[in-house]
This record gives sequence, structure tokens and C-alpha cells, in this order.
Amino acid sequence: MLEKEISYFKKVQDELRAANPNGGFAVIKGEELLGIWLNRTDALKAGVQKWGAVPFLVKDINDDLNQVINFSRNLKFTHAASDIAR
Amino acid sequence: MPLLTSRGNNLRFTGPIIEVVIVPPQPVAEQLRKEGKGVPSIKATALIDTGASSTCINQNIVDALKLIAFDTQKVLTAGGPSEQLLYDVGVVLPISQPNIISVQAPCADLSGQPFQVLLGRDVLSMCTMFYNGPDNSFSFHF
Repeated sequence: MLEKEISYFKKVQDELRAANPNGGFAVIKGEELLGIWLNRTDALKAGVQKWGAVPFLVKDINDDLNQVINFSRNLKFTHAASDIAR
Repeated sequence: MPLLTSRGNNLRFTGPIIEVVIVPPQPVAEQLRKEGKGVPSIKATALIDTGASSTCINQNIVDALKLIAFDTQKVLTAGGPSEQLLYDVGVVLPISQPNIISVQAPCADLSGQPFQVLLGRDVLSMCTMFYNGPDNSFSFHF
């Protein structure tokens, strides 16, 4: 889930950063970019208004995609975005 | 600053646990209201976990609130790295009401644990906690 959107985001992230020096949150479904909003709630709202309560990507355009969140517990996560550990 | 103090018999074994309410993200809640549908919420037991970068929720919460993933994140545990879906949720702490704290949480199998939520450092970044081991108590400020 969201693999297509992440792949598209990776392609356009530099362009989005250059065009939006104040930052923002991109709303993407498939390879459709709905727009950029300055906060996550407004971005989510725009996506829900456009497509309803279905999966789409809301991503901070300044996100470092290599950034990792960590858990000291050995949790068994159940909703992988990809089958392949990266 | 609202304050919660909890004292147990054996804090070492129970850990700093509080009751929270989890709700869908505000835009989804607004959409449900527009459609004349009720906004679901679920009470859950949460462990305050300083070893977690981010809040994490159990599967039953995703199911009960019919949550949708709107983001992904690389996650690292002792078991190795993976890329996980993130669910936008609102967390209501007993001391934060009526404020709703918005977080993006991965879903893990916590079914064998006495809690359904790990409250991570995303929430702790807005709080202070004092863990008093000899007194078997902790204080949590929001």
C-alpha cells in the first residue's frame, strides 16, 4: 500500500522543495499531486474532500526518507508498506 | 500545567501506564459527521515508553476506528528494519482534555501485552514525566 505514491514522491521531492521554500505537506494519490499545504491537518482535509476516506499519501516535503524511527522493544509490526525490509 | 500522578504496588513490573482515548484524525472525523455518521473512539491502556521514537497502536484500534494509512516510515527494532504504514490518529490523554494530540503511528501486534498503545517520544516531546521508583509512582505533566 502507498508504494506507488512513495515512488512518485521520491521522483518529485526535490522539485517540490525548490518550489515551496516554506515547506509543506504534499497530497498524492497514484501519480496525481493534489497540492501542497502548510500543515498536515489541512493536507489531510483536502485529500479526504477530494477522494474520501481512502488511502492516499500525505508527506512532509522536507522529510528525510532515510530517517528511521526506532523501538527498543522487538515489536512485531503488522502493516508493512512493502514486503521487502529496506 | 495539568498533572497526573499515579501510584501502584509495583511500578517496576506494571510500568508507567495510563488510560487514553484514541480517535480518528480530525479531517476524517469531520467527514464522518458530514455524512451523518458517528465518530468512533476507543479507550485503551497505554504504556509510556521512552524507548519508542513514535507512538504505536495495536491492531484492534486500527480495526475499531477503521483507520486508513496516509504515510509510511522506516522503522528499526531489535528484529531489524522495515518500512511500515503510519496511521494518523488523535490521542486524548486524561490530562490533555479537551486537546487532541495528533500523531502518526505504526501498527504492531501488542495482543500479548497488558496495553494496546505505546506512547512514544512524539507525545513525550510535549510532556514531562517524573518516574519515582522508590515511591512506586510517576507524575505526568502536559
